[in-house]
Amino acid sequence: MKRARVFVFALATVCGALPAGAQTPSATLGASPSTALGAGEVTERFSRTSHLDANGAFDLINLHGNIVITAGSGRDVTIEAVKRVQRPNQNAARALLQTIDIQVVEEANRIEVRTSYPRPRNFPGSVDFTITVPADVNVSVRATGGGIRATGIRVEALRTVSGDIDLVDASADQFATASAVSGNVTVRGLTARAIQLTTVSGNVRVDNSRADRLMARAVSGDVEYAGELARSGRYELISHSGDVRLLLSGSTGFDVQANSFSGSVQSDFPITRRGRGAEGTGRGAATPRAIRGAFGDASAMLVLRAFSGSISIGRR
Amino acid sequence: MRTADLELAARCRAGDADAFEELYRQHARRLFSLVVRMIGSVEDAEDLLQEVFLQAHRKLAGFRGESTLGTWLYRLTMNHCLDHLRGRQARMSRATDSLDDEGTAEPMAPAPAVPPAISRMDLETAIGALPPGSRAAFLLHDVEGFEHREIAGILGVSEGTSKSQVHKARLKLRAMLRR
Amino acid sequence: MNCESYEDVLGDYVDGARASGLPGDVRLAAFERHLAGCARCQALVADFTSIRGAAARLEEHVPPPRLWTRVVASIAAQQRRPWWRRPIADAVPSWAPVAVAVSLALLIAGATWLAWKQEPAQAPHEAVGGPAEPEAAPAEQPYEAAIAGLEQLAASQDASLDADTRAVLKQNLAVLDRAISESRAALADEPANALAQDSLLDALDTKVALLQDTVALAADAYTVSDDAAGAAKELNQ
Repeated sequence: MKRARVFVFALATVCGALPAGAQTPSATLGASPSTALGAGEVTERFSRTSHLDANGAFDLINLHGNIVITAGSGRDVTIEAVKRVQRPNQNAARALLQTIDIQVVEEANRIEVRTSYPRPRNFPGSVDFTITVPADVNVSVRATGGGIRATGIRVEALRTVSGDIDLVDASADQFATASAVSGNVTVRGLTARAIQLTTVSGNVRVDNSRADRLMARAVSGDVEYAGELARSGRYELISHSGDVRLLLSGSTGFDVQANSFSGSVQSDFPITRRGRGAEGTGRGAATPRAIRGAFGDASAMLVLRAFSGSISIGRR
Repeated sequence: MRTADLELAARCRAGDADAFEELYRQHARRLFSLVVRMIGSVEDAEDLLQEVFLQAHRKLAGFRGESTLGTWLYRLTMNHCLDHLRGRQARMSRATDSLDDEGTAEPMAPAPAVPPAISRMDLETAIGALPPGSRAAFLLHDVEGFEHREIAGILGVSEGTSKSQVHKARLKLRAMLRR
Repeated sequence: MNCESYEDVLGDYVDGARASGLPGDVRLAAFERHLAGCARCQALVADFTSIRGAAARLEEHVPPPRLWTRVVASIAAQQRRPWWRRPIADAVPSWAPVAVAVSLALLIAGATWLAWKQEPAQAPHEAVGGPAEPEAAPAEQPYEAAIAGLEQLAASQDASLDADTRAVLKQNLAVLDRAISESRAALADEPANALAQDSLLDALDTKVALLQDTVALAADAYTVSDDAAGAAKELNQ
């Protein structure tokens, strides 16, 4: 045991200071003493294993740091974390490290993990998490800063202020939401009844996902939807100054209302127009500011809106 | 009346936002005034009332309709206020008084002692100087207009106690407001 | 002549009770007879009546709109999810954007507070941008109220979030404010333009959501440091 620790220590010093927020290998060492890595950064590991029964809930509230959460087989919940503080004075750094607390509360098939610090205003460092949960547990994550990468989980809500969100092969009971303030939201292979993806500065990208209702919105950033449309699904894609892009596969018909205030609107699909200028069908009209009409059996509904960005509906 | 209360409580429990807002809208205004005067601070009153509604939201699960929802909410609020005041008193290391406070009776003048038009500020100040138990009863009765029967339910005392607390409060106020 | 023994009925008398010949009024009637000849009790009745009258006329303290938002935020923080999220089927009318369900509570809150104010509505705090801003259209007012309330709340909780996060939030609120003023300007040029209307409401909606999240974040941060006090209170229940 002692030998292993010494080995890690040596390896760590050889590697030098890891940039804050780098992915950490998930070693299961348990709580080890603060380890010094290069100029004034100290870290401390935290490790905890628990379990959740079917349909349990897992909530994580973190301040700064990256979060990786993956669904595993079995009923185990494994929580690995690395606390980091960077200060020129290592003793000061170590003292601050001690004040970063990771609280784990377990009750009634619910686990809540929370990073805390006596004065959040001056949060001194970051905590990176690597977590596995059973695949049928509802996961909510909220971070103030840092990216969230989730794979295979059953998701309820992922939120961060600054950082990217990557959600892969996930599902939700009813309603899934992922939101960032400054960061990209990328979702691949998500299945849910209703999905809400938002960011203020950043892009939203949806790929190969399935929902009855989808709302994707960016303020200054692009919104892109790639994949099939669900029959009688409702999709609302909105950007203010970015572009709205659809790359559709499959053959589901749709009814579309697409409007841009000062950008162009274009479709590769033949749209039977309605309302003003409904005469004639046409492929990819020149550069109107609006398209209202139907393609195929119009079973899905698309509402596409951009203020200064452009809107395009294309084939994948 | 009770069935409407039970229904509202059930809807709140089920997470119906409109129902809880309904509850808030019905009572928050009067409760706020009450709390400001009970604890003597507008900022603290905000914090306290937020606590009360947060707790109410949690505790609605246990509402069985033995009282009206209003009485239940007022009781919760008064408990918070009295706790707050007890805490403050403890910090100021004065003897805690029970609800049935035995203050020294002021000598009673045989002629009307208070001016016919009492200034609001004087009255508010005087109310703030009342001991918590009689202050609570006075606020509920003379300011908010509750009957002794309702006050008894809110404060968890007998009607007789409510009456005597209001009487004590009026006597003390009379002494303080004497011109 | 024992004035003290009439203490309770004296109170009833001040409250307006008068003997009307019913059997239950015996003590009240006795007091009224006593009162006729007792200067001391007459003085008390006069003074108590003045006090009671003044008390009934005391002005209400009106709770600020932000109190409701604080309540909502603290409940949300406690439950770690939007507590107003109802079963999707009921909450979201046929073609309403999904985001509306989430912001609905705040719209209601805003409208409610506007309706409550009996004084002529104080001009909603104009949170957005410069002097040449076009007037807020009626459809925006619930948003304005909600935003003003949330901004006050967020400002009061400013101490809870770290500098980096506050900077990011501030930057992005500025992005939103730019989007709002662009939309307003477009709407000023073309008031009937449905897209401009929608863009404006979208941006307001997003701003509300952002402020809401900020408040919830800050509330969370506070919850932690007040944990000891909170725990003590819980134990006393």
